[in-house]
Amino acid sequence: MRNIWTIARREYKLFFISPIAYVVAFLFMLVLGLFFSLTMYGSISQMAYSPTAPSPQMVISPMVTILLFTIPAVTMRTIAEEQRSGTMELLLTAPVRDWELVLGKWLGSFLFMASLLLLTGVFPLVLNFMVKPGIDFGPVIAGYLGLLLLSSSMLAIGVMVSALFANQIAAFFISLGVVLALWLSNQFTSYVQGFWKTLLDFLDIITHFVSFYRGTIALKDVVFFISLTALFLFFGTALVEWRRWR
Amino acid sequence: MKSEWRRYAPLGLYVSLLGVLATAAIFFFVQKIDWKFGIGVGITLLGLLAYVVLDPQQIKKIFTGRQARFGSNTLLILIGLIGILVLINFLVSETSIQWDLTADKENTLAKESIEVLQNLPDTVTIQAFYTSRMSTETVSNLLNQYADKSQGKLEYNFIDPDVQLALAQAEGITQDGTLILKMGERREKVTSAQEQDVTSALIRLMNPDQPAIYFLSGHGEHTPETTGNGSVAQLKSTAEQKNYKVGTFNLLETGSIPADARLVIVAGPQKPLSQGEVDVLAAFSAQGGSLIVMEDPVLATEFGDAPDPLAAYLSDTWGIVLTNDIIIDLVGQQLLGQPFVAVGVNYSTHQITADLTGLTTYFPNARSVTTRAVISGITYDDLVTTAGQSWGETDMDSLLANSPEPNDGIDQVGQLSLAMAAENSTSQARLIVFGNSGFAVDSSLSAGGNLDLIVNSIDWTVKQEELINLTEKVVTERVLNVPASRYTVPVLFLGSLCILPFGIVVAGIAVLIIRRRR
Repeated sequence: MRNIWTIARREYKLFFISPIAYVVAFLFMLVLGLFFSLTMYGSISQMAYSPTAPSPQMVISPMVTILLFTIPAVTMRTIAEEQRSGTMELLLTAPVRDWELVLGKWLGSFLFMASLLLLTGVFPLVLNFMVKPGIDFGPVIAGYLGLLLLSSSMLAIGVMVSALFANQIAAFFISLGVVLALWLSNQFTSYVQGFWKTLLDFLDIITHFVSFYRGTIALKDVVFFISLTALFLFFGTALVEWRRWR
Repeated sequence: MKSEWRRYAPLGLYVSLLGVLATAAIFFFVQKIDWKFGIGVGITLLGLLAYVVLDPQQIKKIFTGRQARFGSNTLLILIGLIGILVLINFLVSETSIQWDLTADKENTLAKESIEVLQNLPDTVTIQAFYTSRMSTETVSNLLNQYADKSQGKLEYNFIDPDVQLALAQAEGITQDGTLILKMGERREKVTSAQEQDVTSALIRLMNPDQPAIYFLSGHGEHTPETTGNGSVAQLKSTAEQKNYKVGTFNLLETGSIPADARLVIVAGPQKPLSQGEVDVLAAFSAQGGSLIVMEDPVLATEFGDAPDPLAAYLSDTWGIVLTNDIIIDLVGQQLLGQPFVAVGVNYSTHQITADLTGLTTYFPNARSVTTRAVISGITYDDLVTTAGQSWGETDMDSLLANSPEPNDGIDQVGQLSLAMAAENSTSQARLIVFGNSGFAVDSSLSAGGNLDLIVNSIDWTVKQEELINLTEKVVTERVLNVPASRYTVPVLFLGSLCILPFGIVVAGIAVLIIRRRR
C-alpha cells in the first residue's frame, strides 16, 4: 500500500508541476463557466415570466462531455512518459510490483480529477445562493459521485492505453477512441439483436451514468463502474508485465 | 523451412487478423452463421496455417517459452476476473437496490405502483411512440423506474412514428407521446405518460374483469354488427382490445337490459324510443348504470314531429337539453368546405378530454347540448365546444331553402357545446350526451381526436379511467431569487468566465516562476 501511495503522491504532484494540468483545468473551468453563465443569463432574463430555478444538473451535464476529452489528456503521460524517457526500466527493477505501479499511477490521476471536480463545486454553491429555498443537493451529491465513478473508469482506460505506447499523442487518441466507443455503444444496438444488443446496452457508460444524473444512486451502476475500473487496471498491469516477458 | 521464407510468416498473421475482423463484422451485422461467415473463418485459418508452415520454430517457442508461461498465467487470471465481474454485475442487475437522493423523491414510484408491478401476472411491453421533436427524458426516467421495479416483467422501447409509420398507424397512434401497453393479447393506450395513468393502465391490463357495454338497437341506431355506412364495428373492435365485452340488444325483444351491462350506448336512433323503453333505461341509470346517448339533429333523423321521450328524460331527470337545432360551423366550412360539420376545438379539463388539447374532433350534422337547470346532486361538464364562429340554426325552413342565417335572440351563437358529461352523486350513475352520432362511426372514427374522445368516454362511464389513487407527491417549488440589479449578470459572467479559469492560469504561472527561481 505504501508503494501505491508513494507513486500516487508523486504522480499528483507532477500534475501541478507540468503545464498540462493547468491547461486542462483552465479549459475545464472555462467551458463549464460558459455553460453556467449562459444558462443563468437565460433564466434571469426569463425570471419575470417563469421564475422556476434551473436545476443543479445543468452543472453536471456538460461536465460529462468535458471529461471525455480531458481524461485522455490527463492520463496520456502517466506510463507513456516513463517509457519515452527510459525510466520505465528503472521502475521495473525497483522493489515495486507491476500492479502497484499501475494502481499508483491511476490513483494519482484520480486524485487530480477529484480535485478538479471539487473546484467545480463552486457552481452549485453559487446557484444555491440564487435559489429560494435553495437547490436540491441530492442530485448534486449523486451527480458528483457518478462523475467520480465515471472518471475512475475512464482513467483506468487511459492508464491502460498509456502502458501500450511511448508516444503521448498516440495514447491520447487511442484512449479517446476506447472511451468514445463505450460512450456510443448503444448507438449500434438498433443494428443487432439478442446477446450483442444486451452487451452493447450494458457497456454504454452514459446509460449507467444517467441514474446518478437524476439524483439516484443505483447499486448496479456503482458496481458497473467499479468493475470497469478493475478490469482496465488489470489490463494495464498485464501490459506492464508483458514488458518483462519480451 | 528455409530461413528466407521465415520473413514472410508475419504476413500470415496479418491475413489471419483481417479474417478475424471480417468474421466479427459479418457476424455483428448479419447475426447468423452463413457462407460469408465461413469465408471469414476460412481466411483466418489459412492465415494461421501459413504462419505455422513458414515459421514452425516460432510456434514451438510460443508454446514452450517464457512468454507462454507468463502469458497463460495472465490469461487464466483474466478469464477468472472477467467471470467474477460478470457474475457480480449479473447478480446486482437482478436487484433494484437504489437510493433516491432527491428531496421530493422524484425518482421513486408511489407504493401503489410498486405493488401493482410486483403482482404483474405476465410480461408487459410498453411501446412509447415519440417523435424526435418530443423530449423523452421524463418518460424514459418514469418507464425506467417501472422496469426496475417489475422484476424483469416490464420492458419498454421507444418508437419514432415518423420513421415507423405503418406500425404507428396499425396501433392507432394519433398523438405524439402515446404509450401502448400490451400484456398477451390485451392492450391499453395511454396518451399522458404520468405515473397515475400508466399504473391505471397496468391495472386495467391485469384486471380479469371484463366490463360489458351494450349498443341499443331497434330504432335504426348505428350498430357494430354490420359493416359499411353507419357501422360502429371499429369502435367495438377497439373496445374489445381494451378488454370490454361488447354486445347489442333490442329492448322490444328482450324487455330488459342484459344483467351484466355496465354501460348502454344509444348511438343515433333514427326513430324515437318509446316511453316504456326510456323507463327501462331510466331504471337502469337509477341503479348506477351508465348511459351514453348520441342523438342527431331532428332534421337528420326520421323523428319528424313525434315526441322524443328519451330527450324528455334527459331534460327532466338530468337537466340536459338536446337543443332542437343544427350547428352551422364556419370552421367546418373553412377546413372541410362543409358548414354542417361541427369542429370541436375547445375541451374541458375533465378526465375524458384532458389529453385532447391540440386535437380537433369532427361532428358531421350535430346539434348543440345545453343544461336546462343545474339539478342538485348532479355535476356537469361541457366536454367539447366549437370555436366561436358557429351557431345553432333553429329555423329548419331556412335550411331547406339553403339560406341559413343566425337569428339574434333565437339561435345560440358562439361556442356551442357538442357533448356534456354528468354524474349523479347519489346513484353514482354517469351519463354523456352527444349532440351527434356520426363522429363515432367507422368512416369518421379515425378523424382527429374522435377515437380518443369516444374511447375515453366509455372508460369514464364504465369507471375504468382511474382505478387507483396514488399517494400524492409533494413538489418543492424552487424559484430564482436574484437581486434585481443591473450588475447581477455581469458579475456572474466575470466570476464564471474570468476569475475562476484565469485564476488557474495565474496559479500555473506562479508555480512555474517559483520553480525556476529555485
